[in-house]
Amino acid sequence: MDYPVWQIPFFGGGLLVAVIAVVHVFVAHFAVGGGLFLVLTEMKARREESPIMLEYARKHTLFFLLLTMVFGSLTGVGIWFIIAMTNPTATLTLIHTYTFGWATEWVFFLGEIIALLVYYYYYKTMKPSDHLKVGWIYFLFGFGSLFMINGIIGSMLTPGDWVQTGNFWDGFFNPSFWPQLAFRSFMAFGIAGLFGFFTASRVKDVETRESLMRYNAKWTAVPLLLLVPVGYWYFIALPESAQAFILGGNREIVPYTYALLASVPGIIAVALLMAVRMPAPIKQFVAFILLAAGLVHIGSFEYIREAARRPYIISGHTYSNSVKVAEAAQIIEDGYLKHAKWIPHEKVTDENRLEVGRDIFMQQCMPCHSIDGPLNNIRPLTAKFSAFGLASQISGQGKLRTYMPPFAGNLEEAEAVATFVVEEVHGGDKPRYEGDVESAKAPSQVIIPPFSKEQSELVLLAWNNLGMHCISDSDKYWTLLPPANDLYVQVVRRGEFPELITDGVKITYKAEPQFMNPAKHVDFWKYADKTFGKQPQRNVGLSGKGMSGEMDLDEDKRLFHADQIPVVPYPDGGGFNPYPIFTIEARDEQTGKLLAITRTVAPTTTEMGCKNCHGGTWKKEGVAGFSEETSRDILKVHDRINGTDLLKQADAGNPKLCQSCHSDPVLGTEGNPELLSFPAALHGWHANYLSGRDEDACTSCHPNDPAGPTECLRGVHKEMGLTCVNCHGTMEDHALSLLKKEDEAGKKGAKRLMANLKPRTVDSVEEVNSRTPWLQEPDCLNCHAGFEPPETMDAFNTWTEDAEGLFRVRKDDMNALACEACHGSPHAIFPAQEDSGYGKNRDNITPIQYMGKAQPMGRDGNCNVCHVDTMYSIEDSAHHPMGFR
Amino acid sequence: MDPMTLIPRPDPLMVEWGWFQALLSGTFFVHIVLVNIVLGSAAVAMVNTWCKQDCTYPVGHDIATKLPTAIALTVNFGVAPLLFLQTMYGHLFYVSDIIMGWYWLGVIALVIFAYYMAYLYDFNFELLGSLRGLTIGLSLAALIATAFMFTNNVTMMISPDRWDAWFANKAGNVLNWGDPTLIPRFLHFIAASFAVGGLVQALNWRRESKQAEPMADWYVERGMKWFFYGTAAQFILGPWFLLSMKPGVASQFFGPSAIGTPLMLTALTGAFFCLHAGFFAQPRRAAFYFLVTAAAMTGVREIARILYLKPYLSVQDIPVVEQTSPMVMFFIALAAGILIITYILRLAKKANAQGEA
Repeated sequence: MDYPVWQIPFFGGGLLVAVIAVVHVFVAHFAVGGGLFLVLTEMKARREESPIMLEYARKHTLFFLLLTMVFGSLTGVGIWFIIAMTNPTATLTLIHTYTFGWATEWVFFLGEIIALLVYYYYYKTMKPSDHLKVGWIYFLFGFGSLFMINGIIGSMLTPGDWVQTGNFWDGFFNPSFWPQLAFRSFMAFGIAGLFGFFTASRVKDVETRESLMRYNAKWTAVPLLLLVPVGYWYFIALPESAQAFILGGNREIVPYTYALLASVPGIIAVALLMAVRMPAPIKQFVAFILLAAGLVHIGSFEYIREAARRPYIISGHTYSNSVKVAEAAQIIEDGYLKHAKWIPHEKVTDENRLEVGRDIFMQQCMPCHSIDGPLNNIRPLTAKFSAFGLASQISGQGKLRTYMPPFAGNLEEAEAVATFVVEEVHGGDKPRYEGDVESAKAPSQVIIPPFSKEQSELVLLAWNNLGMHCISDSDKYWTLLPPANDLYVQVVRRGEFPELITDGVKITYKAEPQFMNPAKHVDFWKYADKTFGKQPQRNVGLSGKGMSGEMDLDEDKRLFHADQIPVVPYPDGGGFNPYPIFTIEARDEQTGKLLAITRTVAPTTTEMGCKNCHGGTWKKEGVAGFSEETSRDILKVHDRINGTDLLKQADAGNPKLCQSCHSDPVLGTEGNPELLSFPAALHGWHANYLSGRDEDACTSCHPNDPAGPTECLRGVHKEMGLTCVNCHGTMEDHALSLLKKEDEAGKKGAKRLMANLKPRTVDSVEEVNSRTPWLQEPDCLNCHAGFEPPETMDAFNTWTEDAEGLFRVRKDDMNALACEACHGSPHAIFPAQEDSGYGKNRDNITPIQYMGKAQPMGRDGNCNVCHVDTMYSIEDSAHHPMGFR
Repeated sequence: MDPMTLIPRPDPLMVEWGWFQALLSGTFFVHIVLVNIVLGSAAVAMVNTWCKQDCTYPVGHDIATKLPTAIALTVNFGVAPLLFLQTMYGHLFYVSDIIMGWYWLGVIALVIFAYYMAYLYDFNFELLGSLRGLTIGLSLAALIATAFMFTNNVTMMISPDRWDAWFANKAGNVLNWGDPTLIPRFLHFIAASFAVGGLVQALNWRRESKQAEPMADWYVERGMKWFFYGTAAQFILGPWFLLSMKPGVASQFFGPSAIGTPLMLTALTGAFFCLHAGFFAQPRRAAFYFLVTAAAMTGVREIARILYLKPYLSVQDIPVVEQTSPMVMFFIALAAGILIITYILRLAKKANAQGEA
């Protein structure tokens, strides 16, 4: 943020560091362990009075000197150079915090050089006892260097109290100081043995060589064995988050953990094998392999140590994107551009979006991600995302999954980064709809049934209880909602005193012909026994209702209903139509004579935008439905985050109903009582990724994209300019209301999802009223108080007490007519949109049939639709006060 | 673009800046003297292979046996000033590191290469034969390239007004070519190195143990010629360097700056004395004058940096969050280290004495 970025996207910020660091630490550990090896080997040679071994020790010292003092020293400086260039902020923090720690290490480094040069150059001329003293001094200086560096780099992973106090000693003697020192020491001694093999395998004298092989086998095997208990000690000194990462919570670490775990017994076994007599060339080759294994061993360890402290470069102090933890919240609030010294733009505009996105990517993403490089290549990691999906991913990162740091910026900046990645890295954004929406629409003729105010005896009021029923046609992998529309009918006998008829009539329903075969279009029936534990006949729903049939009477409510009709939005002739029409007929129960006829829409869609973030395309016509790729990715992500194996199960032919684990009132499932309800889990999780948005957050998943084929909100409220958030609140508000309920019920996952959500309609989480999904919704009277014209358009946060208060359940003041009978379904309140593209007045059939125009039933002098030969006016209404007209 | 907006925020210091300034100046002085010795000796060694006379063999051989050790110490004494420089100016230094990118990282490869070439030159001196010149020449070239990179970096570091070069090239391929001080500054140090290389040769062959050798005096004389001409060149390069500085900086050393002026006068006087000692082939005196001059020039260099950065920041203004105990630890370690190193060197001296006996 404060610094320019060395823009080398192929290398990212990590590759050069990794390469330089791994080779350096390998040699640097040799420099420490090898110091002890030098003196002990010299002592052994002198004790055994072996001039050949002594000569070996001398030559090994030269090898040691050339490797550690030249390559080791310079690559050490190289690490310093490269970390300063790739993460200057953190490097400067380490420099300033530990200036005199580094300076002390420099003194030890000076001592090492002098001691080693004297040790080598005076090998033959110095008195043996003095020579060994110099050797011991070298080792002590070398170990001193390790001691100092160990304290400093240990504090990057386990800073202890340093984050709060800033005190040198708190950071230096951090919680992992001693175990790490022990671990590195044994590693250093083991590596000394590996290099011992390398040089000893070149000794010509067979006896000496074999003796040295046995000697080096001990040098290698014993320290590596001791790494096991010391490694455990080190592991338990780490914070829980780091432990979880190492144990598999961080996928990036897993292969390195395996490599580390496998390298220890592997090296020990081969080292012991080296003690067996073999020809020199074989030993030379195996010694080389052992060195390579040693490099893998220490490289894996260092990589794990680095990756375990994610999302930080210095735990608790600086994120890996160089943003200091203490400053992150302010940067997020202000926007990154206000703080970024090296980006010459104050805010994101259409003109600079790509450039700003590139700059922010280089500053915040490139520290860990490369573009087409070997480390954390961003291309495959982001391949599935659209710009919208990636922006959501970026703005949500670090909130729930703590592996990556939170994006330090606002939504516009996240969108700019996403734009850069999809446009420049992937060559273009993914379309919201791959198909042509208008061409995909398969309209059908809307035939308004006849009605005569003079002659008709009955009024049939029919409706679908939900304004839109979303179904998931991802049955092969998972199901969240089955095809299951509920149709309702009330039959009114017209007259001066109209009455609701429940006797003597038979009510039938029938879908349009092209919708009669849903089983041809979805796999619901193939997997229903797995997902719902039932096996209904083809084209028959879970309650036994098919695409046509007789409706059931609910005498208490004085209405007829057909539940869970398996409607799908795919007509036989192809295309997409989320508004199939059902014809409702009332016949004399005795004679079968047709008494009345009406039609209504059974809205059903599969236009749920999971693919916007989970990848894949639409399944049908490029406008709706769940493709295999999308469905699989959802399970893959779920499995990765929650440790489930849903994809494996699905592949084995056992897909699950989401609500079988996550309870959901709409399906009546109890699920696992420890888990969040399905709506709370789904909204709570995704709200963390979709914060800061308005209705675009809703329409990214729900079928109300203005450019989409469904446009679920099609009632009068749309005409008035209302959006999802007017009634449901923003994504954060909506999710919090659901999560609070779960939290109150003691569900342990709720707090985690709530932690980063800030309500936007009210001031605090405390002010958000909790609610049960589906059963507690915003009450119409929140805005239409006293049935008067609304003074507010904000219905969020006042919920119906229970399901009885829902618009879709309630009736008028006489407990006669259902609200929906006269006003239409939620989201399609009369007067609904005139033309949805599927046939004119599709959602206004009832009012057009009975009143000739789209409006709530009875309006504008139309009381006589039911109240024949009366002169009732609005003021006379017994249904409810009619102040709003 | 206003350079002020580009300057990163400094982190607080642990103790007052004066401590770091003193440590920086002290360790840099040792480092730059060693740099001059290494680079100059490599140059002397290479030039001595050109004449193809057996008489120059001992010069090259002597340098070969000492050069790797000198490089080791030079690297070590480069670490300390780099640390203290970063403590005070890291937020500027890192910017120039990043702007230079590959060139700066290349320094590591260059020094490793120079180092190994020096060892090759040492351990295979006899075997190399006619390739000796090439071997030490490659080492020298790498050392000169390293010096050039350092000159680039330190000039870029003190010139935030030139940092906008990054916006035109963000891939780390920028050298500070447009800076008028770059070439004279670089040549100033190279010339000093050549002079010191000659001086070290002269000092070596003036030792009592060497005086018995037949060509010793000639080697001394040749070395002092190097020293003389190298120093004389500074009387052209020095003013060029001064005049190339941005307005108002050089003039500070001739009156206005209370510290800079005496330091500059000392350095100039020292340089004159160096010239005198070089002309009359007096290596020990020349060494003394050189050390005084180098010490004064080190001070001048520090003052010049402060003056260059004056429009942008003052190191005195960097906040201090005091913690003195780590510094105490360092000084204890330093004292103990010096004692132990002295002990080691005494053991070595004893071994030498026993060997001679």
